[in-house]
Amino acid sequence: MTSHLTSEEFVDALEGRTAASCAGHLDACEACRRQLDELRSVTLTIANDEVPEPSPLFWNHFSQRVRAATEEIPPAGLFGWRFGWRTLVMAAAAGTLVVTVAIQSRQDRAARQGMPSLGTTQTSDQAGAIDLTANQEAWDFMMQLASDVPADDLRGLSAPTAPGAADALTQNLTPDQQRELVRLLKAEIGGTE
Amino acid sequence: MAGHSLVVWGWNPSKMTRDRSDADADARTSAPLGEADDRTLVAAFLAGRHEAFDVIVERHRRNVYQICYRFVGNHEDAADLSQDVFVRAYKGLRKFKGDASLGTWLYRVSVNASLNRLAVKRPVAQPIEAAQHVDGRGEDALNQVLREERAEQVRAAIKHLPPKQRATLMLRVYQDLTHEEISKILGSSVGAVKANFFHALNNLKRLLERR
Repeated sequence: MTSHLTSEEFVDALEGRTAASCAGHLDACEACRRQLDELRSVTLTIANDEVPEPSPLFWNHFSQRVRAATEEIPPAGLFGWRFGWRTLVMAAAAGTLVVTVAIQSRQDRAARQGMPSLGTTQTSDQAGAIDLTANQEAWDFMMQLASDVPADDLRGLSAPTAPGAADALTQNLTPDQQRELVRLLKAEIGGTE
Repeated sequence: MAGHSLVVWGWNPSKMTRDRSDADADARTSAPLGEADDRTLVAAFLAGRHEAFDVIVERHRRNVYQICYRFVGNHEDAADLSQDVFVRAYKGLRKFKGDASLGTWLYRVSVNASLNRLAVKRPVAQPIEAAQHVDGRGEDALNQVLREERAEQVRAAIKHLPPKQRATLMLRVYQDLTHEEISKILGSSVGAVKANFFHALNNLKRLLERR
């Protein structure tokens, strides 16, 4: 080896990992040997520098400071993605159920009244012949739920996912709405009215 | 380093030697955490036991403080920065995958926080010639003064290094980390770490010769 050592080779030599080819060069090259000695000297000089040790009282105070600073922080590690992920899935499931029930209900009604179903390319506006039934309020309620909630908002949809929220929701329905909801759910799971 | 270690304070960055399932099982119980390894502490914290984080702080605070002190050069700023490091760790511990030791991960957080602090608040570097310590008490006061004066000069010289060179030097010389570990902490290649180390030593030699 005739060329001088590279920076990596100097570091390896400084740390006692000199390659055979580098060792041969160091034996022959005064400049590289001198530079290696200087690097070694600097390393030993700076290695003796110690950080001043704080007082023992500081460490207790420090731990208290950290605890105070972290007490107000929501423990993301505990509930962050897990709770958020679960909430998102539950909200998505609730949304899917609402949409499914709404579509099924419309198809059932269309079938009973001889209208084209939503499976065709015809929209409800194009059909223009949906009869308002006695359960129109329930239908509007379901459609509003299905259509007015942007997908992104489902992430923050907390009420339907809270325990007991579904029960509370159904209790607020009028008797007609409750009967319509029962009918829709039975139709959805394959039962009879 | 081969043959001799330049580490000033001993710190084994990893106590994570146990099986993950054991750690998870321990984490869910109310067993004392004082002697638990880092993996168990992390699992316990993620399972809702806040006191596990207290143990993590107690176990790693000195090393975090020392790396911060190396960057900022005074106790007050080092204490503030160390607190910031642990707040960041608290917020980000769920991202800790356990492929490196918790100590190495905290090094990474410490170095990043320190580099960010330097980028925001560039400290006024003290002239190397002016760095001195005047408090010398005891029988070997003169030697103590000279030693401390030299140490202050070294710290002042280190402050003049570019951030990555400074970080590399600190982690290699004072924390005795391998070049591979440093490369993971700094997000550089091993070759770049060695080059930074080489240039840091050369620059320090030049700076110290100026005095």
